[in-house]
Amino acid sequence: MNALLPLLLLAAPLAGALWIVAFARRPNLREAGSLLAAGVMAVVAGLIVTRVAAGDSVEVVLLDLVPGAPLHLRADGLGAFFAFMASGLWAITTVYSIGYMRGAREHAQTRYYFWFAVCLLAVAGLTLSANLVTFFVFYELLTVATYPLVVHKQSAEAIRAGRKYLAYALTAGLLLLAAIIWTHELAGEFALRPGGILPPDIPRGSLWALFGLFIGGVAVKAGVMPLHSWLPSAMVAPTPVSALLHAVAVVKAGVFGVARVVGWVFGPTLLADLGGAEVLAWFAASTIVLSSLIALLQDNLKRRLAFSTIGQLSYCVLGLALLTPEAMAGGMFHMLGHGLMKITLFFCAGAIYVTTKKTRVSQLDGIGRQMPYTMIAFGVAAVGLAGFPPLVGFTAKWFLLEGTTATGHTAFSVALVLSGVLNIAYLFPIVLRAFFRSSPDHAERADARPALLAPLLVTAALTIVIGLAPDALLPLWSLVAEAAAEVTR
Amino acid sequence: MSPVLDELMARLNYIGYVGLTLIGFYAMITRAHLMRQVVGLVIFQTGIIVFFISTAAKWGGALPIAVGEGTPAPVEHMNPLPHALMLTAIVVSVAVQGVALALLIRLKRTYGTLDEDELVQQMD
Amino acid sequence: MEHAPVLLLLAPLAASILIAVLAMRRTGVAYAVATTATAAAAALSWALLLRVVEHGPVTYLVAGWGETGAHPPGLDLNIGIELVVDVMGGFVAAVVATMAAMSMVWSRHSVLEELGDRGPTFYAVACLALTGLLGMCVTGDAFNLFVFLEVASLAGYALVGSGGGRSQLAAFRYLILGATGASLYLLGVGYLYAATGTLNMGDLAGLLTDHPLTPVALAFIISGLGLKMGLFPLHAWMPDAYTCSPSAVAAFIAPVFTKVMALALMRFLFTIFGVEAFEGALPAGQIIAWMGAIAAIVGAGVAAVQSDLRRLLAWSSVGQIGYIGVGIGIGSPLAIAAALLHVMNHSLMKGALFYVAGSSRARRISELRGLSRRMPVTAVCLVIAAASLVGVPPLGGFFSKWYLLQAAIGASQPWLAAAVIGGSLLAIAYVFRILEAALLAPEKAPATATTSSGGAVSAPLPRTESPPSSLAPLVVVSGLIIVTGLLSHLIVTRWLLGAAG
Repeated sequence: MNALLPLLLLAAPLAGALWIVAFARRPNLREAGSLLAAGVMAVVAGLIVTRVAAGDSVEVVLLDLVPGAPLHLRADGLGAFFAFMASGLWAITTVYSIGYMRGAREHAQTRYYFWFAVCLLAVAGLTLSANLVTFFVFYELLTVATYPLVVHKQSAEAIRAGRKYLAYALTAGLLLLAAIIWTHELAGEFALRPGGILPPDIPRGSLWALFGLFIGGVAVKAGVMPLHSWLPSAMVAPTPVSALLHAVAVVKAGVFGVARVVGWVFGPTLLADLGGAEVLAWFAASTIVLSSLIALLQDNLKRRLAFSTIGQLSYCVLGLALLTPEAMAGGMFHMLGHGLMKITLFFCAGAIYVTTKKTRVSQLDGIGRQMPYTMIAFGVAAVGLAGFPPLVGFTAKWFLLEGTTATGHTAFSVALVLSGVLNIAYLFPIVLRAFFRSSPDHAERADARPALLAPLLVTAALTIVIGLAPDALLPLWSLVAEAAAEVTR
Repeated sequence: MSPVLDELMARLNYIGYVGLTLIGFYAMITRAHLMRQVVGLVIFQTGIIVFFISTAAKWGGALPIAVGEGTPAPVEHMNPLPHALMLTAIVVSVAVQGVALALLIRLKRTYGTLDEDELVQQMD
Repeated sequence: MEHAPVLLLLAPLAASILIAVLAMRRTGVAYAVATTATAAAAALSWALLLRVVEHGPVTYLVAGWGETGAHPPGLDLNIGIELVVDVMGGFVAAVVATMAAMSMVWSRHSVLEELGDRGPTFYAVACLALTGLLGMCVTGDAFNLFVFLEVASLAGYALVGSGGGRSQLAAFRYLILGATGASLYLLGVGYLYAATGTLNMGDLAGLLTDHPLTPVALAFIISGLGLKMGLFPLHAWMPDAYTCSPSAVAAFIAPVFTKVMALALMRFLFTIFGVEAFEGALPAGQIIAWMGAIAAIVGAGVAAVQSDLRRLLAWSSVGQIGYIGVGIGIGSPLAIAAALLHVMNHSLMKGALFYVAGSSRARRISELRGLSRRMPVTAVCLVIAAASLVGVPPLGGFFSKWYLLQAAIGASQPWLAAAVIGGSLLAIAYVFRILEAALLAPEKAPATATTSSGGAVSAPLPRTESPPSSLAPLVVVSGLIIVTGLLSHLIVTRWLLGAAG
């Protein structure tokens, strides 16, 4: 059974993808398949979480990819956590997708659902990768599978955005490839082990170069400045794509990659000794502040959210780079926290677009009267993102601040607090506009259709529930805390 | 004779082969007329044939035909193998020339010229 | 089975003669004969490969020359022509024969359309070319290799020249450069013979230690075979030859010709010259590796700015040959395995891409527009081949790049690794130009259809998928790209590393 679970986690989206193609001409059946696959995947991921939390080993070794590296799937704390987050949110997003794609009358919906399922397949494989080769295979698959979703509109703008995305992501992939092969040359293995696999007696110059290659490989997806610029461009994709992939799955795969590199390839001891983590932390801290400032200037709602995402992702990266168990756990947990809040915000943006065709912040005067539930959910997520207790954003920020003060980095503490203030500055005006201004456009009450509204209310509720009790549904917080402790031990 | 001249005479064949290949190569590179390029190729290949035959030559060597009883002494004969090889090589080079000429005939019929620059101009 | 090595050559040769004698007016018959013969050659080559992997190299003395008692006592060198099938040669022979068979099947439609009544000639000459190529793979004699090389090349010139005027000029240029290359090779063999007194590859390897003529021979042979294989900067014939020739010819030549030349180069460097090539007076390994590295970047870079689809593919080949060059030049067992693996992978993906180019009848990249609707299956195959070219795991192309990088880093040659990566980056650029045109570019509505009322949904183009004879080989080759990718680990460890070690 424990060997079967990883396979099931991959099989669910794969079967879903095939189903979607098979029933391309029957939308209801097609989307039912997508929904079913997402549901099964979420349940399997939940099972994996409980097994891993119980201390079982959940793993399976398949065919060899290259000598010394089989296709090896194994769930550890962080992997199970990410797998559950991604698949659970996929299930919710699928409901939303159905509402959005039908509501906006998008073309090529089969292609859309198909590649969405393939993306989730890639994410599932990524989370369970037990060695660097497996990790790379799924990392590249994720890059490729996201491309058709970015260019979905097939407009000139979308194609440009797709080019940019590929240029960034595939370049990063090649750097990662070189880094992985070099690691094998130095360490003699491809495994991912808590505490790192690199021997400490490597010349520092090589270590720096290797760290640079690795971070260049994974930080692009994590949107760390100055490698972020593909992300705002990619907002041309349909909103569910922005919501799940550009706030949860793809970008978090980058953060996940950073976590694996820091904790499982180099190991905190070696990185602290090298000083690489410090540099990474500075990049992350600058990204947090800069992106928030840029977000203030954006009028397009999705672009504003995209820059917000860039900043919030760097919270995670900063946490990982601080190398203390608390900060690392905080950084990892913020993957979920930010995921929930940002997906809610994107869902709201999409609901507004489908219902009113508005895409700009300046057009949203009084929209709270027309779409009260939507805007309340937006408000909840905005508050959470700024880090107010007891919402889910608070947990991460608390541990991050603990980490910055513990390591004596006052500058990082300042960056975190400043970013909280800026978060309020770029998200609250939207809420205020929505409820305290009025506009003849939005006088009548006509909230989004149920398929759009239900998912965003659920995710908004989850930000409160998980914020109050992080282990309420499943032992999610315990998993990442344990993973962080294991790495730093 | 002076030693320098001796040396030269002993290697005359090889000097000849280098000269022929260089002439052929030069013609192939510099001539715009396709027919001249073919001629260059032929000279080039002839140079190589000269080289091979030279490796087989021997002062005072007899024809490599076994006469009478007993094992022939290889030292007393010309080496027959390079000759055999060059027979094949000549056949090959004739075939190459054949294909080249066939292509040139077709080009000439279509475009009325064999000057490379004019051909390219006409094609564009 | 005893005569398999020579039957491998006789099958296409017989087909060629048969067509020339009996079927010069009947394209259908010629097609049937050519496909049967190439398929038989493919089957034989696989059987041979499997046997060689299992039981070690197979040698075959043509006409029994050199068998005990056939030559005077006391002479222990091989004087007859010897065919030797080892894993390296058997592997390339299998790849070449398989791709040739695929191209033959694929060519049916394209030959009828483009070559008309010259169809039988195409099949006869193509079979002759295959004879030469397979002969190069299995011969154990340096001069015999020259003969087979010229057989293949002559057939190649004739094939390239079988289109219009442009193709004849391209063929002529190819001929001049190709004949020069072959002559240089012959010259190198002459020096080897002068140094050792033998032409048998196995005997040469033993006799050739530290002879003063070795670097000269090496230089001639590398430049000769480098020219034939299109290794930068000796690639000048390739773009025109691939672009101007008829589709069927390009699809037949592009996947196989340069690969066999690469094999010949490997034979000389590894089995004949050995250490001499890497540590001797002429650092041949380094030179070839750097030629390859520059090729990888320049080839891909020039490909990225082409607007003619087949010229783009040709320049892409220049770059991909560069990868093979890098592997040959590094010369470690892993690098040789990588080069051989890339011989197979490049053969498969370039074959698939030329089939797509031929089936879609696109000359310019922009003419691929709407391919995903007009020819959905072809479009999927295009995506697979293109993704393999970029190196998306787990497709074949990814793994050759993987082993190549591993070999470069393992040999402490980070700059070669960087060149491989740089070439891949540029490859992304040209591959996505093709894919964008084929999959994303808005379609022009056909003239008869009324335009839709401004919605995002345009009037669907009529489906004009290619006929089964064109589609089947494309699908099979695309499938092979996936399968060989997944099984590359087995291919490398079971076959290629053994061949390289």
